[in-house]
Amino acid sequence: MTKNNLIIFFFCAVFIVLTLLFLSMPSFEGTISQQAAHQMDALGISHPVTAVLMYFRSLDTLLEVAVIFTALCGFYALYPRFLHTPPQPRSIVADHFTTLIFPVIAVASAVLLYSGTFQSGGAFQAAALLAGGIIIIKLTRPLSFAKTKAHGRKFVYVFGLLVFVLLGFVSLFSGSFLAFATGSEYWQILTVETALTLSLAATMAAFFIMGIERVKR
Amino acid sequence: MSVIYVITASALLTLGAAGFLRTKDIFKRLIHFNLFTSGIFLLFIALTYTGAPDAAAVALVLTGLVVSLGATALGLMLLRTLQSRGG
Repeated sequence: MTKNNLIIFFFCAVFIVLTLLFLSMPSFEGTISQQAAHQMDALGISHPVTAVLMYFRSLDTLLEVAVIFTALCGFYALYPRFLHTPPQPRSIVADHFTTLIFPVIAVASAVLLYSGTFQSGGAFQAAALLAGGIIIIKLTRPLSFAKTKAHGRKFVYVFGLLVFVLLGFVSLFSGSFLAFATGSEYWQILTVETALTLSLAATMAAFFIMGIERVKR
Repeated sequence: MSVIYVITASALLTLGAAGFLRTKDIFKRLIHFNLFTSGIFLLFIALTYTGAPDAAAVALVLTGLVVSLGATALGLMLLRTLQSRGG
């Protein structure tokens, strides 16, 4: 038996053991979600995932956004190595296509964001969709979006995190950090989600756009 | 829990780990790392699925997905920098 075959057999054994192990696990009981569901009626948000993300585990979500922001900081640290972008010819067809498709994407993103209050959806899904729209704009370079300022972009990157942290400190007046004031949780969560959508979309698009730029040799 | 999802998840975990350990190509390692995390997310959802998706589990996996996106993006950028320096 060769060394290669041995390795394959080893990983097959690992696969079988893992599968048997997972299948023999005791069945799951969602006690945390049930507790969350009991308190959810008072919130005005009827979709449990959004309620868990933004209300019961909001500190997790805050730090997750901070992780994304840290990754973007890493991007900027490496970015000066890719200074040059080759000029692209402008296409009239792509120009018109983008001006038609981007509003649709923006509206769909807003619908996704809002629908997070009662069904699957919310900031992250909406941000992913909007990021796709921004990437289309960047790839086709329509004339109407040609003059985007870099400082504005940098502000948009941190906007969501700032709003989130600010709301957290505001909520210190009424209790502990990120414990949203009772009565207005619905609007506070919607505000945070909107801000998160904008800045996460910008960040995710930046991951792509900065990542594909050509190296100047 | 559904058996097929659990089997798929453990297959993804094994493939990801095997590929990560066996290849020396850093780019392929990043791909295998992504395969491995997909296995973890699938397993997490499959094990906590009882008739309807569990809200806490879905929220955790959503967090994990976004973090793994950030990790992959940063990893690719580091790879490019390494390559542009002839590494």
